[in-house]
Amino acid sequence: MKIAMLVYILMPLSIILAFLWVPPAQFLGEASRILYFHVPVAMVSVIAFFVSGIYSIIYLYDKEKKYKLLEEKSFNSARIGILFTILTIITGSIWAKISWGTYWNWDPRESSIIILLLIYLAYFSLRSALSNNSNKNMLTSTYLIFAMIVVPFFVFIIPRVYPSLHPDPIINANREINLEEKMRLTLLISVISFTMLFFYIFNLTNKLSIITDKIEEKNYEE
Amino acid sequence: MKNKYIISLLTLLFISNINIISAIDIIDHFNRHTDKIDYSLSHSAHFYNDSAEKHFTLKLLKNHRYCNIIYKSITSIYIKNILFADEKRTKTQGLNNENPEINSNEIEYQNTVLIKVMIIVLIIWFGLSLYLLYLHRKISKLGKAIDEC
Repeated sequence: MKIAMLVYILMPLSIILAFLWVPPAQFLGEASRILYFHVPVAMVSVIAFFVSGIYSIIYLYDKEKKYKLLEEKSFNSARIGILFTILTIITGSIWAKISWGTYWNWDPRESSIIILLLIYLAYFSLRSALSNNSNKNMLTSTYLIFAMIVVPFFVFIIPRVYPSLHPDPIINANREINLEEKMRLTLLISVISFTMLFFYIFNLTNKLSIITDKIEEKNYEE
Repeated sequence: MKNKYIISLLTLLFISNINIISAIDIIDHFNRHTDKIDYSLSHSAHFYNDSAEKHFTLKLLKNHRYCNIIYKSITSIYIKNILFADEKRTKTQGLNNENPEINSNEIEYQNTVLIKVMIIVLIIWFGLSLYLLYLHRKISKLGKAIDEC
């Protein structure tokens, strides 16, 4: 409930700050305001993939099955991760159209995010294909752990190795944040609010999984 | 209860996005009418003999003035950011071309970009809010189904 309150306060605040308080960036103009939505959404998708990987590790370690629905939780997190990755691609391609003239440029960062999306889409097809398999949970959890290991490679390493149309990362090799103070604060608030939104949606989907599980148990008993 | 939060979120999003676009019209409209309301309320309070009615009208006038102050302080932020946005842009983006036509074209282009960005953000927000609403409704429906079992 506290997370929900934070989301409802911080989200409109980040919109207001992004459109009214922050000045447009030099050369990029008004299009630079997408930054406060594009970057946090991308960050949250990475967080979601990590959360799904961590839940999968716990699932594989938990041999006595102390914790319930761990596989379901990792699936929920991966699903939200996919949603945010799609939003990242949409906002990014619109920004690319405004700034670079085309929606898609096969930039290293764009290519890596599309590969990441495909990796996680493969997870969903694997999960649905194994729906009748008794080892489904174990196999899908193992897949998610491998996918999590791949994430930093695609998100942090590839875009830094190859020349890119994207500007320098916010946290770069010089360990400096190359953003004006107002922009930095707005971006920070936006990142926090999107992270809160992720945990809020994650809690809701987990609640939904628990209720569905209870209904299935009752139906099984009957 | 949760639905109320979602509705309030949608309203806030709507206000924060739409108001920016139509802020200037709203300010004009509000300013035209607020003075009339203020004038009529203060005059009617002056002419009322009945103390209860007079007290009520004065209370209305007081509330109206408070709302006016709050509204004007909010709209002044809008005015600063929208009416003087072009001027700001000229300074921050170095649009000090000698040909004013090029400057005005650039400002017009930036305004279109700003509206595009707002529409994109608005669509994303409404999409996410609807997803939240869908989750809440599903939870409440299934919760009821469990209770009935």
